Amino acid sequence: MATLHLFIADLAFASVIAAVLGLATVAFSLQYAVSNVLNLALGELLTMAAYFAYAGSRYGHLPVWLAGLIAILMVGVCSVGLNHFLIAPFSRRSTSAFTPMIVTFAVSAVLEHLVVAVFGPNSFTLQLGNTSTAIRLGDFALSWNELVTIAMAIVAMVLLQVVLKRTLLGKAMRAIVDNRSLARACGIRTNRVTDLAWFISGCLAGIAGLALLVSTGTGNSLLGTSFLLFIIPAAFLGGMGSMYGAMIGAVVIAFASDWSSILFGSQYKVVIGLVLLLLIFFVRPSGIVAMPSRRWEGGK
Amino acid sequence: MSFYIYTLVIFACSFGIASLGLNLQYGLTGTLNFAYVLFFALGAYIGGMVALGSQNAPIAQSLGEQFAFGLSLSLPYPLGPLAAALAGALLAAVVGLVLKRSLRDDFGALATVAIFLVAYTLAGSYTPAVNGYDGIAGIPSPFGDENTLLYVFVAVGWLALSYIIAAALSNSPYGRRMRAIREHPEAAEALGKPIFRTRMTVFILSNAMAALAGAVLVAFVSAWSPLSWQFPETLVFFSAVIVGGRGNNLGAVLGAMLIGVALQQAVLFLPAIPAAPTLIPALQWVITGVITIMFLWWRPSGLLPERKTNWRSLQPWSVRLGALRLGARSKPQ
Repeated sequence: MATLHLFIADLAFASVIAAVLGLATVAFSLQYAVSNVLNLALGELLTMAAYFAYAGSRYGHLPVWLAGLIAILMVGVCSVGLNHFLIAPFSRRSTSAFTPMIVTFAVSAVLEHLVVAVFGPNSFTLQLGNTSTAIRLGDFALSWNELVTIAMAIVAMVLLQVVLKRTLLGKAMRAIVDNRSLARACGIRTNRVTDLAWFISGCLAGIAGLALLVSTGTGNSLLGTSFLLFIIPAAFLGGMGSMYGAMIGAVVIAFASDWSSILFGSQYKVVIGLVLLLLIFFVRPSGIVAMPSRRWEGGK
Repeated sequence: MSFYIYTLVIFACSFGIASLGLNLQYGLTGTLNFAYVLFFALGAYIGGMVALGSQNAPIAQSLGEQFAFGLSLSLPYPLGPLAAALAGALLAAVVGLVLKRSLRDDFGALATVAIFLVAYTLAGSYTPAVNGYDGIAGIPSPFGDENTLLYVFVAVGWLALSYIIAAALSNSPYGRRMRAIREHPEAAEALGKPIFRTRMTVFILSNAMAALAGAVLVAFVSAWSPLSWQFPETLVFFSAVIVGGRGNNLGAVLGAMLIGVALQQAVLFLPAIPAAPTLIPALQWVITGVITIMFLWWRPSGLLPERKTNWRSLQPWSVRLGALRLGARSKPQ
């Protein structure tokens, strides 16, 4: 019975993690869908969002919300730069998916240590206005920070859905995911649309980084890298290349890891994701992608 | 001064062995494994724990209470590296069997990232295994503290042995099969080459070499903890193989010396800034990453490019020598 109380008390934290993980996983699989590259530097985009917001509010004396907004846009720009100057040229040149992936690995090491070189190795905290409880239902308590985090994630998801479904840009993106050369032959500027997709996914990663910082309270240069641990199983589970799948995968991984840490102790929090991932490999050795539903489900 | 040179030589040997292994799996067979440093670390832990024992009684006892396989074995020297290589091979077999056919694609590579991150977190947070973030320490020198020079020669010997194995493998028909699988797996499969079995064999052998490299290093540095094998550490070996020349064993060793040893030492000559003590080590990583990307773009074949196989090099040595003599005698009249 005591465990049940713990489950409910932890529900708020687990849903915040699910929201953050959902954003990051959607960003990860959107990048894979348009560029066919598994971006190992995604964790660093999360880290950079946290540092940009910190720098904006600490050194630029901006209000937290403005610093956060600027940080999100800056991470979006960084993401476009990463695609435009590194990943796209390497993908155009090589037929194998390995070289762009090694490039993202090198970029992740560079960015992680660039952050250390600029900001120093110490961890930092972002002062936020209101940490009081917003909603309380028995054992279930949600603070304002957590509420804002979840709301940000939902708004971002809805916006992405609208962009994908209702705009010409979304249509072009889905066309590129389906068949890149056919899309180009039909007059879609594939390079520009890919850059825009990377901007959107960079903004999603930025929001995820800020939300992660808000939910953990402190940040350091490993904030995003260590979160990759959850992004990868969630993306696998969701079947890379489908937005709803990514969200479902994120929710499953977030709750599974949280509850397993209650049941078996906090060391096992990280294990459950790996167990699920390896299970997928055992059941479907060709990888989830081989499923016929390899499409970015934005609509018909 | 001589101790400084010993340090450099042993680091060069250890990184050279690991780069040779990575060259076998990435450069020659085309398997992407981002958990490579995990095998290096496993070798270091096993090599250290096998050697740790009664001659370092106080340290071993204090450690033995804290972690489960802090065995008081204190076995004689060559058993440590051999046990490490065996452990590396076993772990590689498990990982390879789990990933199965995905060993060839980018999803398998992504799974190795997840495997590494989970193993790293567990090694740090689950103290009974390898004493958590404190790590193991006090590993005795294999030939006593005054015989460091002897150990330098032994380390060079391990490097030479690894080089001979790697060179023999890559020049053999098996090496040609590895290249064929790297270049065009479908064509190799159509010609009846067992792709998965070849990849698995190379995966096991090369990761055993990584574990051996870890054991060679730990016997000298005498301590090992998760801080020594963080995720970006794998980049050093990838960088060494890419800079040296993918598919060229000599290139891998050269790259290990340039990236693993020379760059690290060159960075130390930069003026240190007391206010920011982590700036220089951080810059070293930035430089390593940038060099890797630059090589991949401007010189993807590396400093010593892989040699193209020609018809003569396919002949066994006896035939080649015979052909030389025949050629000299039977010139067109």
